Amino acid sequence: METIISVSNLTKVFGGKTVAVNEISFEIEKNTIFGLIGPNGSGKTTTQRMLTTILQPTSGTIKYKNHDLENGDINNIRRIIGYVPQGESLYGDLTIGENLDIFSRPFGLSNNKRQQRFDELLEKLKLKDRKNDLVKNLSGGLIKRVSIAVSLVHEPEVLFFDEITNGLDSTTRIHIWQLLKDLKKTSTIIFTTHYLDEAENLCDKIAIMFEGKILELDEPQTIIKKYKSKNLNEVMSQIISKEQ
Amino acid sequence: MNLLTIAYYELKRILRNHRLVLLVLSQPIVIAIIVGLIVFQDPKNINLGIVNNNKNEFSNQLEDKLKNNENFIIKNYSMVDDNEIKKGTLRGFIVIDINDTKPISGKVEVLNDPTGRSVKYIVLGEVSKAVIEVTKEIAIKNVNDDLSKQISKLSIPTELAPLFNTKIDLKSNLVDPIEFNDRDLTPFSLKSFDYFASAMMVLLIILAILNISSISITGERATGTFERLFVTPYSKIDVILGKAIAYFLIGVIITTLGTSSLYVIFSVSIGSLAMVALINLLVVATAVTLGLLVSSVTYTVVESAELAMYLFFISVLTTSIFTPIETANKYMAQVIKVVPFYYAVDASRRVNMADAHWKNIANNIYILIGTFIFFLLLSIVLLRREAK
Repeated sequence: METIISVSNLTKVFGGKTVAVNEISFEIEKNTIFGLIGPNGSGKTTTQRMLTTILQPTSGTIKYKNHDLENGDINNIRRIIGYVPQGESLYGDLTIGENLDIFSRPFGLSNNKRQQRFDELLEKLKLKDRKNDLVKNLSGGLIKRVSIAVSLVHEPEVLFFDEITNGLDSTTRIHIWQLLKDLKKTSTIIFTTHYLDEAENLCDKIAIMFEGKILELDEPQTIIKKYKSKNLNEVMSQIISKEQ
Repeated sequence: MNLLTIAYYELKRILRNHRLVLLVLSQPIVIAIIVGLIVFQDPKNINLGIVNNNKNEFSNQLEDKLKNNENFIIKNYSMVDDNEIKKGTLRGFIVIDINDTKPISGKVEVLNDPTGRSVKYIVLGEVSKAVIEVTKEIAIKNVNDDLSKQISKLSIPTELAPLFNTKIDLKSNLVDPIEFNDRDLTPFSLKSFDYFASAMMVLLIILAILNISSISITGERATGTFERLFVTPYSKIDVILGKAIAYFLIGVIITTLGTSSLYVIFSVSIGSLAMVALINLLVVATAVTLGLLVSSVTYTVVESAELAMYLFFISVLTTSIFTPIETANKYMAQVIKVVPFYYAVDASRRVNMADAHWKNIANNIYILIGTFIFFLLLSIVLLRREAK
């Protein structure tokens, strides 16, 4: 399979002393779902923020298929990625349509193409009737769907989801799982999550992070077998007790 | 043009928040009205006590003159009662001590309320005028008395005596040797409020614009939209310039409302309209970029609001709104000269009060343009993509 992201010896140090991510290396293959999992403070969000160009690495390299973050190719990388942050991260005082518009304008799509994409996404995410509603008046589940729609307008090759299902009810979670599986057909998905069942069901490959390091990097079932466990929850318990 | 998209939606978001719009737009009008009414006139109806220790022709004359002064409300006292000052009933006492002995002499003392600073100067000016007039009367009387005394010592033949029995009419025959006048060198007829009005035009813009623009980026950091914007190809220039355009347009409305209110309600002196507009637009641009700079370097909305208020008060104090720069400590005077808004208020006053034109205020304008560009560049450079 074709590798879309290569990460080598990636390190992030905050304030010269707090090592959030410590020389991690991994590769992500095209059209797969890659999960970054681990307890709070393990470095998964920092890793994702470096991959999405929000944070600059202290050292190490991140290479996208044809673009190198080190070579100042940052804008080209931003053109091929989509990012769904953990919080609402939308303009509450703009409508769904306006949010789609402001976040998609810099990608240089023609007006017709953008409108066509808006219609497709609103239809797909069952938001068509709410296009002119202000985001601040929507429920948590609807806001999450708008957030996903916003990140998809420019048809990104790589999609990042930061704890996307946090705080959502089980129905909405299942709906989002289905959506991720659909999106995998056209994009590569990288997501962080606290829900280990989610990672087990969805991910083709996971990286288990602890204190800034990757302790395990493989398919979920392979890791489960390696630890002779029933599921990832048990794997995580073993890892935490061993590391502490 | 990505920056126009940012500008358009920033403006849309502000205008959609009706309460914010009401607050921002009412601010210049309400504050202009309040300040205009507070600094409405030169001190009038000043309550004073008068103690006339030796009642005689000249002391009564002085007392009457002071009582007829339209600026004063005067009450007689038998002695100075400092409790009246402590209670705040009176702004001061005028103690008249004129002897009726020959030659006539005496003194007048003004005892001021230390809390009524600017009132003191009005009282001193008016009392001095009255004392000079009465002193002149006393001088004439002393000269005539002296002359009569000298004549009486002479052996004048009886038939010539009537010729010497008339008093010399010094009042109509002598003129003041030096005439002293002062006037403001301006074609405008100025009121005391005009000094403040020109400064208010500048400070109202800074207050309204600095407040709103300083929280624009930290506000977006808090909601997470900022992080999202920066995972798209929007650049730092797009974001800062886009926001600057939006706040500049809001600032233009604020400055128009503020200046019009001052002109329409209080008929403040306005010089060249083109110069006033140029100064105000540059103040808007400088305040907007200073606000964005504040927002770029702070981490939270509370921090931004605090820093903006801090800078606003520094601006107020260093623009010589209360006192001219000459009252400042020599080092502070140099510090004031690096505060850009000092040049804005200075230019505004010179245009509106002294009818200054382009060549007179060109340096101030260049300094404002330079500052605006400096703040703009600095806010772009210092804008951090990531949250703390």
